[in-house]
Amino acid sequence: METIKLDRLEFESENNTFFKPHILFDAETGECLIEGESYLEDTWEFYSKPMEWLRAYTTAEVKKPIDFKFKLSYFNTSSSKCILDILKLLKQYQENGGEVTVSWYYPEDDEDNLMEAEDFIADTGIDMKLVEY
Amino acid sequence: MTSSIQNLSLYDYYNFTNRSSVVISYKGPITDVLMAEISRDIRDKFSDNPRVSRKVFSVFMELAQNMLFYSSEKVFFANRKDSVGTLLLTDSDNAYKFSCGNLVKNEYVDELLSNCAIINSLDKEELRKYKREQRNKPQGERSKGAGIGLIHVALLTGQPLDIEVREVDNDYSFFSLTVTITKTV
Repeated sequence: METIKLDRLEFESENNTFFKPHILFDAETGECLIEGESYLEDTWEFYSKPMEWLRAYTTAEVKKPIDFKFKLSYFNTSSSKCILDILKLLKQYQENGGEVTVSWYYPEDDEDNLMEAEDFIADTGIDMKLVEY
Repeated sequence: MTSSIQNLSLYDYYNFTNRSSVVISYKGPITDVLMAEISRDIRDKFSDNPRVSRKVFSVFMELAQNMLFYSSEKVFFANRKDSVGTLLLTDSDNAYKFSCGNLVKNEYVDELLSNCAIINSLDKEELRKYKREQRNKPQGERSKGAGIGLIHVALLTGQPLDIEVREVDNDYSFFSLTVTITKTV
């Protein structure tokens, strides 16, 4: 069986025709970050790599902790569906004994962004620290 | 009968747009590049009011994507096939109004109208719940996104979706949607 070697996964942010968030997943420390803006040509394709990484990380033999930070100032509704998938996966990992912390950073006075975070919590039942920045 | 193009007066169009304070007016191919440019322009224009800027920007992005994905009006030019849409952003005393319109197949009109009627019948908390329910559903057959753009727009604006449908011929109708973004909370 092929073993997937988990390493760092990084996508630089882009703000041209589409807005790609900066993604940095570190297998060494368990720190994961998605920040910036998310509006993509093919949302599902873009998030398939990070999802694959997370699936491998959370199904590894040794259950390593994961510290996930979202810092998105804008994301479209397609991206919100992918964010939900990530949170569901993290919740599942937590239920299977994985150590998970999630923080959601929202721009100052951005009630709509905060409401999105609250709805993600309601949807998944995950504990998420809400931090204004 | 003379062809309609000869009767088209740009001056009439100018007068029409002059009557209300038009911030953005566009009819033509909706492309990714154009969307990015207009969205940057919106951020630029409203930079002194972050709340309005975020809302107008998000509303524009969702509605323009809907036109890009679902408009039945297409234009073929230089080996490209692009969706065609019409959009108008106007500035009144206490609100910005954003309208967008495109052709839809008549067979989809009832579904669109009933979707909008559901959205308009719900209050904020019900809309949040409805959006979550719809987002949890598997991807729809004709859907290229999350299928919750209109619910999201209604939540962002806190105002009903104003719909107008005019049948153009046996196959198509012009579907237009106007949303209001108030300047103060």
